[in-house]
Amino acid sequence: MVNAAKVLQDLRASAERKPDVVVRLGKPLVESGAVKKLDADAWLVYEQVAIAALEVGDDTLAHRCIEALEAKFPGSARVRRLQGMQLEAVGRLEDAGEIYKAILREDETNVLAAKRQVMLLRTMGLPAEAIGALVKYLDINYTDFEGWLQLADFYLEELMNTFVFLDQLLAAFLRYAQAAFCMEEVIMLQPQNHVFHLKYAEILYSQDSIGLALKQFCRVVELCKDHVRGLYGIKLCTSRLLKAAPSRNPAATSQEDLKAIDLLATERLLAVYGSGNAAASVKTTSAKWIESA
Amino acid sequence: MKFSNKAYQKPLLHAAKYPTTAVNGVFLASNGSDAVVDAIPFFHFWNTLTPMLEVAMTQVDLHCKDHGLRIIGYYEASDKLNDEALSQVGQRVASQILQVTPDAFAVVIKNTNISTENIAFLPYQFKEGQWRAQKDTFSGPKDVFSLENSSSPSLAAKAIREGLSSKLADFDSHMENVQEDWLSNKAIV
Amino acid sequence: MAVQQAPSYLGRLACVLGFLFLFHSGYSTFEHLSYLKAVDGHESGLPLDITIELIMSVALFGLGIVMVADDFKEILMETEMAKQSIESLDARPSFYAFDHRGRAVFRNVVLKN
Repeated sequence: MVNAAKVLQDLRASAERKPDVVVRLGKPLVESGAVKKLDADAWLVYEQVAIAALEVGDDTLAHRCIEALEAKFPGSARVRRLQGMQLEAVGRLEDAGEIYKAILREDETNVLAAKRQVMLLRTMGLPAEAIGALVKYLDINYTDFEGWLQLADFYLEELMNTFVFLDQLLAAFLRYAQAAFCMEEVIMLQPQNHVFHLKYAEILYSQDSIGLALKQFCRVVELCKDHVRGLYGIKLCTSRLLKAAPSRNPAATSQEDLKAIDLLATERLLAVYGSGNAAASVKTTSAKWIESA
Repeated sequence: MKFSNKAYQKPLLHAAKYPTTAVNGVFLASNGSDAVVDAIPFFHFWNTLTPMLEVAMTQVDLHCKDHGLRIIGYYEASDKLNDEALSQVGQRVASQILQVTPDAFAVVIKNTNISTENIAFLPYQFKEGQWRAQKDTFSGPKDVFSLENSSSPSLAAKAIREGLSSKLADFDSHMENVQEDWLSNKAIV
Repeated sequence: MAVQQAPSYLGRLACVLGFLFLFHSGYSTFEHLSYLKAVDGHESGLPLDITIELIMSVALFGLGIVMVADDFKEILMETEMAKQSIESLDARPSFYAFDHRGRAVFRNVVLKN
């Protein structure tokens, strides 16, 4: 028997976005009133379930949670932000904007409202303005790595659209470069997080900076032993670099080093696939890829 | 292009498992016929980044050679509800597939139709230098795009209601845990 | 997903008993000191049985606590980080947008356990 409150707490800690799971577990808690037994955690659960309910379209559940929070914390900016999110979810974007503006009028340092404004601009279909607002926010709060991560994603999202004015290739080059800059800021703030190095490495690879990408993929595997995605990245980079003409740049990795890294990555990947109970078809396919790449 | 039940269901289950992000994957057909027999889910995050896409395409190619299949198409679902355009990433991948397979196509999933009885696929074909949406399709068995089993949409909706989508494994989740079988996904019918 | 471990009733019993014995040995000490005062005896340390009871209660309580406490978390940051998924570490919970397909897909689906 799974303890719903514990699972919800784990989801709050890990920040994974699984609204259907949260509603599935949280709805019975809220409707039966069992949530009140959680004391201090109850308000966090109400907030979590409210947001998840908005994400899956269960507006009555969301309303119920927000009402409970409003009763306990009347006039709180955090609750008003939730009300703003409720309006955003049903499409009343102008009204949501008014709520955020009001919160910021009272307290211009309210980070939550500023972030909601950024996402509101995106929902309204104004990605350039959203980027502008987020850049302005980051000018002041430059240590907010979540903001830098979001900005990187905004730039990458722009790649999905067709560019009318900029040439497609130039646009791609620009966007990857901007996203890479954002990831560099994130890494400066959180250098021990292997996932940030991984994202940075993949962006570098996408922009064709294979030498730098290889260094970042190696860092990923250094920070997180046997990271499969990092090892795949290393293999891709080394095979590309070995096929290309040897670089005259003295800072570039030498051919022997490339071969050694490639060998290490191959061995570790085969070890990882060999140790788990991967399905047979997956094992053969991945082994073939590993050998041939 | 006749879509088998599996080829119709898997993209929708993929989209239902990750409702808040864009998802994509490819379609497989058997050699020598244009019956679309399977779909392989790829990513649900970082879909604009290329390295793992290269790995996934190569691995699916190897998988196809082992099973007498070929990559015939690409699918994606936008993270925005009403967006039915084929994205730049999608156009690039689909064009790559087109170079190998002249009858390649792309499908954009219609998010509003996912757990309903309506067809949730919007096919795209490369005509006159551009990828163009084929709007009046899936009207009958003689159509260019059709379903092998006309009750596929309701079966897919039922699968989503029963939470079958949580058992789907894509390449992203496979790389986090190599035990996830993204190539055959035996847990899904 | 983490499932709460089954409550260790033996552990809880050990904690309760340990506490009771501790309380009892404390009370015995108080009684003993009162008795000494009453007979004007000098304090020559606690009688052996109270000392044994005290040590035993602490040991029992310690055993109970170890059985009741949750599993330890790793001390090395990298082992904790390795367990977290990319979705978790790349998450931006303050930056949610609601214009995705969640509302459409689950409108017709009743989410229950």
